[in-house]
Amino acid sequence: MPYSVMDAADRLADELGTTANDAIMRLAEEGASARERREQIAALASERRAAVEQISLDVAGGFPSADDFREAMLAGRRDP
Amino acid sequence: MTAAWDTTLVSRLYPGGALEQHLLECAHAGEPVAITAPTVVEVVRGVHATAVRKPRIAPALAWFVRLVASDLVETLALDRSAAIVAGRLRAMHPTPPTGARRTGVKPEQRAGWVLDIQIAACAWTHGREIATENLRDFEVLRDLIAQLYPNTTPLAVITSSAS
Repeated sequence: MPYSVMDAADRLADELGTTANDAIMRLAEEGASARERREQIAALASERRAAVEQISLDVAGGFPSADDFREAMLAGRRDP
Repeated sequence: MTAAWDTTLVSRLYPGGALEQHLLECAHAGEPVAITAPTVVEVVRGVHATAVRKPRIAPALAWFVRLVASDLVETLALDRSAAIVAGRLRAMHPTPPTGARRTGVKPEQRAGWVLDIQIAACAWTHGREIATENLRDFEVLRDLIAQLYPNTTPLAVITSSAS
């Protein structure tokens, strides 16, 4: 058992008035829960980012001219 | 180290154009061109809104999104440090310095100025130069940043041809 974990377990056991073994179990549960939450967040972020970046490029109708494209890119500075 | 391109420069990107060629060469050399997140906001907003009115613009939106999502460009986030700098810059200089030169009514000019503030804050906090066609406004922002953080290396503002 790493010293840092044992130390944290001893402090938690003192705080809760329980045994070191019980404190170790609580720390493990807390760690597992935090890990699960991180994994959930990573999965959600990955799913959402993939959706944002997936965009269909249909050029069957032609591509706008360079001038039209530039005008569109700068439209935010003109449109209300 | 590549400079961050501001919106005036990004707006000259076009498939097969000289600027895209330069961008591809930078990526090939392992130094992808940097674009700030506020520039991405501005360009995507403009192209999307235009595509709603003119559907023939839609492929351009897809092209730009794919470009930004690729490894060919690096997007500099408006993160904690950049947000703090941008907030302080806006407080110091709430209105654009070149109002008479800018197009549009006052609210639009201010919107453009806020974006320029965020772009400058992103470039500076990410340690980049800013390449722009809008030298005058970014030189004002460079001076404001230098005033706020006098013991740091100032934002370098370069013309787009030097990027």
